Amino acid sequence: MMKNTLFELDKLCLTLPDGRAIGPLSLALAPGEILTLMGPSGCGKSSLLAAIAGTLSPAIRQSGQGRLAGQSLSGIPIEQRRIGLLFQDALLFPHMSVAENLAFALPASVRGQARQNAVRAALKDAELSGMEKRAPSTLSGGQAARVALMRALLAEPAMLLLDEPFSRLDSRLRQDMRDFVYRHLQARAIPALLVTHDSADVPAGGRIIQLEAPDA
Amino acid sequence: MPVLTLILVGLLFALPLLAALLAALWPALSGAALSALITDPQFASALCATLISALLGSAAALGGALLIARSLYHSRLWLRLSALFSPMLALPHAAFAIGLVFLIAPGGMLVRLFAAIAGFPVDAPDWVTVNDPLGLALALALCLKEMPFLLWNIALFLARRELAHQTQVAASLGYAPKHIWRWIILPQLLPRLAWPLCAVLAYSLTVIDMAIIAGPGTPPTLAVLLWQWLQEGDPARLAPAMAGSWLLALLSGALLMLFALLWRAWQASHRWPDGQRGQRTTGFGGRLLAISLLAIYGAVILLTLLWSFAGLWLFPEPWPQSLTLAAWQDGGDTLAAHLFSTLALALLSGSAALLLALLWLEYGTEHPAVGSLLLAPLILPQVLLVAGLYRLALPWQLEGSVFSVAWAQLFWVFPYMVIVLAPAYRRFDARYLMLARALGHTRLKACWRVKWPMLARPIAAAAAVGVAVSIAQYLPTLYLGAGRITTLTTEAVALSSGGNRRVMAAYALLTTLLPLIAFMLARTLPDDEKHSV
Repeated sequence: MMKNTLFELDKLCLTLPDGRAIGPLSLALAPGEILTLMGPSGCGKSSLLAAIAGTLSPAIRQSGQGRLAGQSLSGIPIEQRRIGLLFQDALLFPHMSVAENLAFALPASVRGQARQNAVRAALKDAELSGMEKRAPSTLSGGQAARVALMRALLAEPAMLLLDEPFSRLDSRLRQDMRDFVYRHLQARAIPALLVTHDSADVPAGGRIIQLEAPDA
Repeated sequence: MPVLTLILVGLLFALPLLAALLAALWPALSGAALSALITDPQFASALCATLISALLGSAAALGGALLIARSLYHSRLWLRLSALFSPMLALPHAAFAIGLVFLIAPGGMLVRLFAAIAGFPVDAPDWVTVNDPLGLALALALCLKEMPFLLWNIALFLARRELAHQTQVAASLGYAPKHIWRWIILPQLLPRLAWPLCAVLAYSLTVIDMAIIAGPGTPPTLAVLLWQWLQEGDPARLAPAMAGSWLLALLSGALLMLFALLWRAWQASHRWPDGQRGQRTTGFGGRLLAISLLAIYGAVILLTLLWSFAGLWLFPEPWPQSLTLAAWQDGGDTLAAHLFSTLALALLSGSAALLLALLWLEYGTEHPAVGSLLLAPLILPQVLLVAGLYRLALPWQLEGSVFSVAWAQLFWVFPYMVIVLAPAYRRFDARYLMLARALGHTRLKACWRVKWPMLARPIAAAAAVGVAVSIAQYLPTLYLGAGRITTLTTEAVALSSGGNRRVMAAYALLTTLLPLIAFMLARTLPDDEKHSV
């Protein structure tokens, strides 16, 4: 085990209902480190992410385990794992305003005026000041993606899973968004696992793990 | 094709619908009609029983459905349960009410089981558990029968992929299932339940067959009272009956406005998210309710089966002294004749409605005004529309033929088919049709060879629903049939007022089995949902 490991997978192995196996996969993440998982379609990336996030279908058998900040993740439901998610779609809740989306992520310990201040500060960070009352559907793709990151961060996660988070953005925005995400993760020393098809997504100097298609 | 679709739907459905409503409006438009209605000695208590049974039944159905969904939506049990909603939905109201009476009547199975264990009572008690003057038994029957309909609608919404993603994000932010339900699901679900709730409330206010079986006797509910007046054939009774039907329609409108106001108030009280994440709970209440609901449906079907084969069955025996085929044999010829007319009607109205529904969904949806007419039969009192249709049919001497009855049933079979088929139709990946047409086929040919075969399973499911709706029709069959057309359902309801219980059970059982068979046949088709987006 590395000296300052925050998250590690220890021989994680998944067996699909049709008998194919994914893994075993072992890895370790230091605070603020972004590790990239790449591989062909069908190599089981989404199942791996589901296993780490805690949403794995019961039809898939899992052996080995993940540990986050020294705690085993086995049997811990998703809402208690403190693992944030970013998908290719921003998935802002459509019935809530931008501010409500962010307030929804804040811990209950932040009360009253402090909640509104935290929301305002997050919007300022995302260069979206004054957009509190806007409906998510009125935001551009890049704006929505920035709100989605802020929402994930306000919940004070111990790590993030990034599931092709840049693939829906047009190429002009993509580099800006990468810089934005990586800057915020490193500033908060939050480690992240990034799944992508695009080698341009790999942060400078970041490690890459190449996955292979599962064995029959 | 778009023009042909509009003509067919217009001639068979939309225009007669409007004409029938006009024909029913005309006699009602007089002060005398209204005062005759209101001064009738039975009016006040009939209205009271109607309001109690409809409001209590609808509210309990909604509350129960939401409780079950909230407790179970994130569990594996939900998926298994969801598969049962549409067969439960297909159980005809009359058959369900008959089975429920076998269960909860003073001499019914619940009391028999209690007596078998406790040793008393020795005679069937004279409590009023069904046909009570307030309509509480009817409320229970309505609640149990409408809950699967609301659950089916909830399941349809919960199956959306974007909702699965949203709940996953909310969970990753630390929220327990119950709080995800409160903050993410319910605010998006309730507006979508508005129309189904409309249908439930309007149905409960105006139901006839269930109210005859489980509702109060004299005075009955308002809808049954009006129906009795219409049946008297006395022209002096016609006007107040029509005025009463419109009153029922206005009543459902007013109640829906009330619901809309409550919803607004709930929305206005909408709080800023306080960040409370909540704890996982066992969802015991919802689980218990779901299991009870399934158990009651099972008991209703099994009791109907048992009664149709029961010989002598004295109180308080929990099992008949002997089993016999008498009910099936004695009623043999008439049973077969009624079975045949029921099937013929289901086939006629079902296939016509299927044709209309496919054409409508493919070519008609750009006419939202006509589309909103589709909902009219589901939210207007049935007695209103049926009486109007009858007045239309009378001058042409169309009443009393199989075709006019099938046509009258169409007003309910067609809309339900469209509602059931529409979600799958919308989910279909439009690129398949584009591809087929780019290969040089006309739109109709592309539908015939590509789209409809790929949608075979949902189309078959919609056809099964059509069969179920046709079989369940009581009022249109009886009224447009002019006494010459009898089906299993009209016969079962007729027998419920003091007829032979065993024969009634046999009829109810057949009306239960036919839709189930249709559903099972539909399930044998391959499921191509994976091609949908």
